[in-house]
Amino acid sequence: MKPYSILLPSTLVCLFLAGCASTETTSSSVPQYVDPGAQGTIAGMGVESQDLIAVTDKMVRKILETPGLQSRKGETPTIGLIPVENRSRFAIDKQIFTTRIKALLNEKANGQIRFVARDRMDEIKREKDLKEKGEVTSGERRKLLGVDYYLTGEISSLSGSGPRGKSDYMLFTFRLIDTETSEEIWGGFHELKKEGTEDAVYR
Amino acid sequence: MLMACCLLGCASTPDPTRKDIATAEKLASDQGPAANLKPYYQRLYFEGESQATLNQMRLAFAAMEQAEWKDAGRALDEVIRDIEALGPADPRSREALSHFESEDIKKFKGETHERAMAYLLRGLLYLKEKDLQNARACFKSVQIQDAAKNDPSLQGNWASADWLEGWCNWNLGERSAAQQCWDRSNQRLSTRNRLPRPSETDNAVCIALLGFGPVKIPKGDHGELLSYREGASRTARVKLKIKEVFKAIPMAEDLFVQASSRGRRLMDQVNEEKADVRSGTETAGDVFITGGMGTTIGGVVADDTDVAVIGLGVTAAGAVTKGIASSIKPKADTRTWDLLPARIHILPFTLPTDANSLEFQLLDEQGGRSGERKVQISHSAPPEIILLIER
Repeated sequence: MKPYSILLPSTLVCLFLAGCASTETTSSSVPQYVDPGAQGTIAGMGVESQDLIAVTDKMVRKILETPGLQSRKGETPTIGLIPVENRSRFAIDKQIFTTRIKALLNEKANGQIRFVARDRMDEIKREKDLKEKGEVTSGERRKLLGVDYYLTGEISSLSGSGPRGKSDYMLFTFRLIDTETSEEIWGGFHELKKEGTEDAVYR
Repeated sequence: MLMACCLLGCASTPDPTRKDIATAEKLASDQGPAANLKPYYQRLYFEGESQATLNQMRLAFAAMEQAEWKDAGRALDEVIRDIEALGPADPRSREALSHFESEDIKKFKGETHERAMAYLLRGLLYLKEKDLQNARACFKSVQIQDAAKNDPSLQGNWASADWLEGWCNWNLGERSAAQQCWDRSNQRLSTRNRLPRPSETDNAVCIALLGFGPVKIPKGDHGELLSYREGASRTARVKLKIKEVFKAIPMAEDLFVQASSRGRRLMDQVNEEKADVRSGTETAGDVFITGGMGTTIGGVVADDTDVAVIGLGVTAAGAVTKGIASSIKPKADTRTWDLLPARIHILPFTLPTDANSLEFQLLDEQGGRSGERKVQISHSAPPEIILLIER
């Protein structure tokens, strides 16, 4: 038995009285709107909204600065989306990055970029069939748009962990691929590192 | 007065997160779960935030046993969100460091093997959804959770997670990465237990989760040390009938080994200190009581009222000290994800396109046949995952 164990009882009485102050009750609150670009009060190690916004904002700025983003026929270029490849240790919604990039480009490119809805091909083909059969009204017959460039990306991570906490480096890379030549006409990346320590009660 | 103060101080504080039964039942019914899962949802809402992760874990595994995959996935996502939330714990949880609160007051996050299993099971669900990239992400995270072990040579040593990561890579067309994962997996297993690599025709993997997982038990004079014992299991091994021959499904992971190899936690040290203080305080109380009573008797015998009164005072002080000792709570947190399996078995195989069901032979610890199972198959795009949960 350690010596302090015997000395402690007398001071324990005082400590006990002080320590028995009423327990702080857990505060709760109704859901609040918060800035999706700022770190929330509940932070995790994975990809969070502020990461998504930082990555996609940066990629859109870079894409819009890219020279030569044009259709070979001098028309407005058409972009198709391929969900990002997840090579990280975090399970993510693989479409959310390209979806936000598309929304931002639609908003900021002033009609200088077109997107094709390849994720809705079944519905589109069904409607075209109905039009061709004359079962529904149809305007001018046009072909489906071809894709000039594919936008895609990859998320990778390097992780470290130990009894005290975790560290995650994440690399987000995106590229625009010319569908005629397979040339990558643009590539951009964003990186971030998160570190967190586990509270003593969980170690 | 001192005694009165102690009794006042020891008045229990109501659990601030406890909801009444009516609210709990309403919340549970709002989820619209399968009938067999309702008790798990009710428990989740009734027992509040400090038990939420544990109850989500229980709900997730129960849902997997009942093939309620969406409920299981949703619950495991909540568990993973809690596991990944680092930084300072909430004030209530931090009271677990206090001498006068036991460790199980903290919000449950599970020990390393429980956290790792949350990821492994989520990975299996992603495999069922044919989302190989997210499944691979989960299997990678199994090793990250396991890295909280003390011994660096034992950190991140889940052979099952390595093998399954390899299976994802293989089916994503990343053959070289797959071989690396399987090499790693086999390095962690003894030569006798090495897991087979899939052949070119293998389009399915059977994952058997057998028995009941490790149980946390308190050890030490005051239950201050966290220890484990193996859970009871009726089924120890399993065989799958392939081309009219029953083939053993090799064991990839023993959860008792994983749980019991974590090593000493920081909280074990905290609880040991609490136990030391409690023992010391109890001894001091005994000394006061024995001395006080002796003094009292001496005073009575000597007909000295003053001495007798002093003796009674010392005895009372001893009783107070013993009271304080009994309010020190060194017991380790033994809340357990009790539905976990004891072992994980893995076998890749070629699933015939005309097969409607698979036959399994269940064996006990001695190799005796303990039962048979027939699992119906609904064919979908490969790779298929056949999940068998047997106790």
